[in-house]
Amino acid sequence: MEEYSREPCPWRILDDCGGAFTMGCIGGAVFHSIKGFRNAPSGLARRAAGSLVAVKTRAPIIGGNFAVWGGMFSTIDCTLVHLRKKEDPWNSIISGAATGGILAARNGAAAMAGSAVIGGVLLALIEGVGILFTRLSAEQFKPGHPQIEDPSQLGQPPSAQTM
Amino acid sequence: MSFLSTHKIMMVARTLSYCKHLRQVKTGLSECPSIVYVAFSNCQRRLYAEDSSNKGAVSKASSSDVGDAKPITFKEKVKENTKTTGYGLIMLGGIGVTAVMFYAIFRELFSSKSPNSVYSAALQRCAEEPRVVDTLGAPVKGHGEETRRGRRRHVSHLNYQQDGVNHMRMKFYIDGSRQSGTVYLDVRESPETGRYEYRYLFVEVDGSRRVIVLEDNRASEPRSLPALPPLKDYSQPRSEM
Repeated sequence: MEEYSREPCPWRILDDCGGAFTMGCIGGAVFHSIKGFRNAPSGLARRAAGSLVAVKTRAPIIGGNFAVWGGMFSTIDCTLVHLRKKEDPWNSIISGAATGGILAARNGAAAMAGSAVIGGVLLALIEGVGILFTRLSAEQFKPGHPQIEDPSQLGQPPSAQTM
Repeated sequence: MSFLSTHKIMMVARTLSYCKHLRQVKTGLSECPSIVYVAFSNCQRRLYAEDSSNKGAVSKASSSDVGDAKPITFKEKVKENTKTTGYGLIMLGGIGVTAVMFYAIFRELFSSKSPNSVYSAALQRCAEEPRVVDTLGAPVKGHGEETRRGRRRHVSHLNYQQDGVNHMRMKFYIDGSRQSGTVYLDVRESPETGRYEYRYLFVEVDGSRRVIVLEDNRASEPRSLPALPPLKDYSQPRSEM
């Protein structure tokens, strides 16, 4: 039974993983093309070659790191959705912090705590941006007339029916 | 001036020896010639950078010692101050933007009048209501509007004012194990307590047009209007269908 809008949750993990990998590859390619260009010996041809080598060696690594982050984040997010039976900004903040902590697990407890705080703050900022954007767009599309009718599913208010 | 030149020469020598050292280490470690190039070009740049950055410091120090260097001109002062002000403004802007983002998220999460807290309270109310749980199936989950990327955290809501009282209207979705539904609610800020109170809260079961009314306090609310606005009554033909 395939509905029109299926549950996004288990499938979203793969989506996020792939999206993060793509994003990391593109961003890493841009970053390392510039870095490789600057670090190469002088001469345009050699600089271009150095840039290309840096992109080929480094960009997939960054993409992989991003993919691990995105996949881990989405997995924890979906787990939280299942456990809390609710989707709200707390989910993403908690899963950002948890992802940061888990991925820094091999560096010791102090590094885990630091990464967890950074992850949580980062995701909180992203959520804040999202809230600001929705608020701005809501202000733009606010209906002009203040009289808002009650929905028709509810019927008349009880007092009107008794009258 | 002699001090300046000796300092410079010493620095060059030091940096060059550092470069040589680096080069030996690098060539010893690997056969790849590009790394040597990279290391060497780095050293050259570093040498250049240190040289140019230290020149000002050295000349400044010598001006206090010898007194023959020219004083800082008004033009330089203006240039320096403008630079400092510019960087300061950029930093302030960054801090301000971060503060606004933090304010938005904190208000959303911790204020009792934010859409998120209204959504949380209404969802809890629905999940505890036996009629809703019986109709939809035991674990009732809630979510907001779905975005293109599968995120459903944003709950559709509208803040408005009526007769000078703040209202908020909201719509979100709940999923049970058997059926799903849409929750519509409207809250108004009570003038006495300043808290949000439900005007109405009901669940429309998807597909069946069944409506479960949890709260309907519209009759008891004070109105400045002489009569209630006429509503289109769709409830009768709907219940027959």
